[in-house]
Amino acid sequence: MNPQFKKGVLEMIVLESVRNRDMYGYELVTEVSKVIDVNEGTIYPLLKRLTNEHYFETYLRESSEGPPRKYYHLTAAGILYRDRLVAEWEEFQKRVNLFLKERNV
Amino acid sequence: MNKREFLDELKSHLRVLETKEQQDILDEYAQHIDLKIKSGQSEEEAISDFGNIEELASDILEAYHVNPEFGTQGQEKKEKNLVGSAASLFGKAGNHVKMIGKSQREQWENLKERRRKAKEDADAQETKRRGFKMLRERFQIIHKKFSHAKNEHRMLSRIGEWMCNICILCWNSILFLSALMFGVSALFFLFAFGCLFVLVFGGYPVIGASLLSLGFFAAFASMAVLFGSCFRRFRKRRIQARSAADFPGEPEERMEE
Repeated sequence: MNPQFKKGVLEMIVLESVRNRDMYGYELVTEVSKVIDVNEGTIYPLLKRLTNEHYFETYLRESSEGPPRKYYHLTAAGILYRDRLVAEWEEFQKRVNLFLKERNV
Repeated sequence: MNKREFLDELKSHLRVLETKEQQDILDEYAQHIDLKIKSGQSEEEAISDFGNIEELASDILEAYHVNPEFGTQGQEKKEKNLVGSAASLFGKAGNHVKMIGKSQREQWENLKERRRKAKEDADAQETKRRGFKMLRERFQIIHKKFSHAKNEHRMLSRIGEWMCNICILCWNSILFLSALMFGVSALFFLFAFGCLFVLVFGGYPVIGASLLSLGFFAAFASMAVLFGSCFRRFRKRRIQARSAADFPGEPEERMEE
């Protein structure tokens, strides 16, 4: 897939993944990888940025194996941001689809 | 590349961040690698999934709104870019020129950084100097306040000092006179002893008197020496005390040291 496409929606997918359930980094990466094939390394900087911008909160929780894991939780600001991105995405893809359909008819 | 090497190299790119943040990020990656190994991948594979470390590091730094180029070695970039531009055409050649420009900018940034450091050092010294000056001024103010507040006391203490001086003068003159008297007496008895000693040789029975005068001489001489030494020591101590009292009067001299 075009890497530019991926880059554009990655943020939305990450926000959407954490919406229902708090996740730790690795879990989140595997979740995102199910949807789009993306360099795993690039998700962490994104998480960092979204945390710095207060869309995520983090907390540590002990795990049965290995060191404690850092969980990401979507804040109220994060939910609003996610809603906006999803709305934009829908609008965007509707227009693009419409455009493509009109051409192909 | 193993996990340790990967983390070390990543860390070297993230030096601009706080140690706590660096550790936070490195922990995350370390855990990610561990979990990948646990799910059956090899260490090598897990790390190679991250792609180019430099790109990764610059992604991370961008998340902090840090310019990823900052603090990297301009020379290194230039060399790498030379290889890159040899392989391609104008596009990359243009890029190359841009990179050289960038590396020069980096050097300029480095220079600026160094200058800034030097300036900070100078500032720190200036602050120190100013601190000393302030201390000195405060010292002077306290000294002045002290002398104003104690003006009346000063009068009294001056009278006291005068009286003290008179006492000392009296004491010293008494000492001096006594020492003089004892000295003269000692000389007199020495003279008497000399005369009597000559008479003893002449056959006169004055051996007892001559010994007596010798004893008196010794006694008076020692008394004179004692008084004399007392007198001298007393004056010396007085001088020391006075110079100590004068000391706070010249705080500048002390500060200069």
